[in-house]
Amino acid sequence: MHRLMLSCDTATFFITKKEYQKLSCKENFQLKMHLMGCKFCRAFNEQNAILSDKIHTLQQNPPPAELSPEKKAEIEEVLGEQ
Amino acid sequence: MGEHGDYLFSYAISRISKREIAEDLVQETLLAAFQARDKFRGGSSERTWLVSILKRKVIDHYRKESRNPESLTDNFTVPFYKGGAKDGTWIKEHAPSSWDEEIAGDADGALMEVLQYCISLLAPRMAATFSMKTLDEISTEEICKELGISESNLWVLLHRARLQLRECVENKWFKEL
Repeated sequence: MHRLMLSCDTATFFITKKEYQKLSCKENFQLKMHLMGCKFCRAFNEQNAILSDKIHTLQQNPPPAELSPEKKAEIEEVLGEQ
Repeated sequence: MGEHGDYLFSYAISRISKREIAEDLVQETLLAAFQARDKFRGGSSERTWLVSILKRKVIDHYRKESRNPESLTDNFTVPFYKGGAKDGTWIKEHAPSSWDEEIAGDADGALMEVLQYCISLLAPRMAATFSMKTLDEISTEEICKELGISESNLWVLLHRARLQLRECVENKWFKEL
């Protein structure tokens, strides 16, 4: 019985992996079973989803940032030399 | 170049936390684009084209960094017990606390700032893998090729990155409040 149960280490590994790739039926099942009995990994799963959502936003719309005036001037100069 | 420069920089800094490097990559991008401007057919928008050049330069940066032995060190603390009866279970201090609804709502973008800060703390290989796979959705094969890592390394790095980010965000967020 013990060997069928995932450790939290492996459960969080599967939770990470499923962000990028489909888990196998077996892995999905094992993960579901583990989550039923483990509040920490349940929390990790929820929190991971929140972060993924934020990361997705980061990817689509990087928060505005500005080049330093010195760098802008340097770029203008370099392009001007072309 | 004005409008594009800042946008490219925003893009670069979200992938490469170090300001000077991000600025240099933007400069290289604009220079390369300028030199290749005849080749720009106008099929995609100018911005999309510039971003594609920048993406390439970001990957080149990650690859070079990966060759540097220093980048192999990481500051990662495994949040699970190793060995013994508790093998693989969460160590109490590192285990997830419950997050209140506020953190998911995040109207003022504070969480985004915290997230970016936490990303900047990732060790070089973790940061590169995380950024390429998560932000730019580059294929596993290409990342492995560029960084010279195996597929199983890649998944370990992503796992660690996610564990570290989650813990960092939790610490930073609850401390700020």
